Amino acid sequence: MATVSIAGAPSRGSLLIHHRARQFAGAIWRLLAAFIPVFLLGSFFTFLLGSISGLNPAPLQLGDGASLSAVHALEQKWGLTRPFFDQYFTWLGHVLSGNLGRSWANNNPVSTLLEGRAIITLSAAGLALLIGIVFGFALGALAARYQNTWVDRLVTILSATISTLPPFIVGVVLIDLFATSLHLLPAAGYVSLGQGFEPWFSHIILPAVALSFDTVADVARQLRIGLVSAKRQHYVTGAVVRGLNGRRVFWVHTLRNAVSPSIAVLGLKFPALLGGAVVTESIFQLSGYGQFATQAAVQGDVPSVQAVLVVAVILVVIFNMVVNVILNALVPSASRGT
Amino acid sequence: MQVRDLRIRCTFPDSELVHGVNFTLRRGGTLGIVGESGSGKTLTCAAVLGILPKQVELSHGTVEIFGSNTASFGKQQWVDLRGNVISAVFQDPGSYLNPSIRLGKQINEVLRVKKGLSRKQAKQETLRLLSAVHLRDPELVYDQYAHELSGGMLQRVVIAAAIAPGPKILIADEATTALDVTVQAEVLDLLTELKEREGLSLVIVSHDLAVVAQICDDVLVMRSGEIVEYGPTDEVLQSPSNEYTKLLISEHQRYGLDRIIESERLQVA
Repeated sequence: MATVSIAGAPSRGSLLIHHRARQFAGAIWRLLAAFIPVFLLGSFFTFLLGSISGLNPAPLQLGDGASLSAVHALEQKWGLTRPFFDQYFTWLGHVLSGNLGRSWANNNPVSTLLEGRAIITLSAAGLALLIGIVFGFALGALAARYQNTWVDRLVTILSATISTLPPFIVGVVLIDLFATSLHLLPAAGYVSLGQGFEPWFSHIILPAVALSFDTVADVARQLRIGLVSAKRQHYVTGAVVRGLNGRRVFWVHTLRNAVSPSIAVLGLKFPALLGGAVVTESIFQLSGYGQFATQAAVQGDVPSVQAVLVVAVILVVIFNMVVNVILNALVPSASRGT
Repeated sequence: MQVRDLRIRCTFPDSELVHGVNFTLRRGGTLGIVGESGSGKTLTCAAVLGILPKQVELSHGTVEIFGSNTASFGKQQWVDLRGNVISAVFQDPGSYLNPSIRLGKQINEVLRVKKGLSRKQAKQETLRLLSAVHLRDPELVYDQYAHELSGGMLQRVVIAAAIAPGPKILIADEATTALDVTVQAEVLDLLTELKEREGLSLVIVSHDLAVVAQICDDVLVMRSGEIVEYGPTDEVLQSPSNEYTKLLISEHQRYGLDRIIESERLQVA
């Protein structure tokens, strides 16, 4: 990126603003250029998988003893006899306009079926993400602050340990401890937020904690490394020499440049949180997104499975775009074009 | 500023790195410290600024700045001292600026924190400082990032940030080293100008005798953590008493540009 050099131009300030606007537009463009293909590929494979499964709605709707001609008529009705790309683009068009198709199992719109369930999963995954951010950042900052002391080692051991614990084990232990033994929290089930914050929270907290362990550990480790290496940078010495106090140097100068890897990790963890929900939901008997996906897959309800996948792709793509925008804002030098 | 019998130790492995350094910087004076890398000049500066790395400590001696001994300083006193009384600029200026914050904001920050200026006042003062260090376009530089400027411009920005709270002493530790010769001369001119105008006392640290000879009243030659020569610049250059100083000066004569030009002129003739 070259310095803007305009000889004798009257309004360099406005030219700089113009330059910044171009940079910003460029950054947005690069984001879209990366994520639109990701979405298209994701949706394509989603549909392809459903299509090559060779399943059709007949077993679900007509039972096992249906005649060949009845099956054929049904396939015709659902448009399964049309060419693949014809089907794909029709489906993609519907998805983009918010229509996720109808379930083969009960003929209801999949979007209605998913809506209520996605909220449950997003509650658990969102809370897990929040726990990951809060505790991951706290632990990582502590370890970096007390680098090479027992605090640092304790955090390292703790994060290594919890990252090896799979959510379904943690989930079972948490239920045993907080529900069965201590009777502090409900063991399973879900209460919607509409019925009050506390009942909602008490049902969602254990699955969220079970899901969050890996994220806490990874965020803590990334932040520790980021802070430890940022602390050694000259600009930190520079800020100290200019007479800024320790707290300011940490919050304004060190943290800002140290935080990128941990935020990038959050972007990577989000799909894992959605995926982990499948297992966690079955332990905590939450009828969420994952449960819906499993049920649909077992039944051979292809439109529902496709809808689950494509919504997951959209969620992950959007989340990662948000992560990228945050990263670009925090560390502008990282987003400069070549 | 007075430094008396300064000794710096490394605790692990246990060894003494600087063996008793003495010097005095007079108010408004310019002191040059010359020596090869590893001679302890940077450590001496770090000790004066209170930024010695971990495992390195001031084991003996005193640093007195305007009559107060820094040995007894707590964290807060160091914070108050740095910026307001003593400041420093270093080699590779770009790395001493936060890569993620606009340059103007970084000077702004110093002014708001150290001088309690309001945002608006700080911005005005920052623009004034940026033009005081002869940046052609303060408004533009204000909104730029460190990676968008050249080394010479960045050193000017770093100098502006260092002098923003109005320190009395400025340490320039190899501040012109990585810059090309014309820019180096400009930055040295700037430092001299600021010295006159703002009443700064300067410590110029360099491995290059020529840089120090140009602008310093006194010169200190260090080698392996010891002072081998200390005196007024003219005296040291004209009649060096130490072998190492003599070597430095003679190498300069042997490899210096004057010499080459001289010999070419002879050849032509």
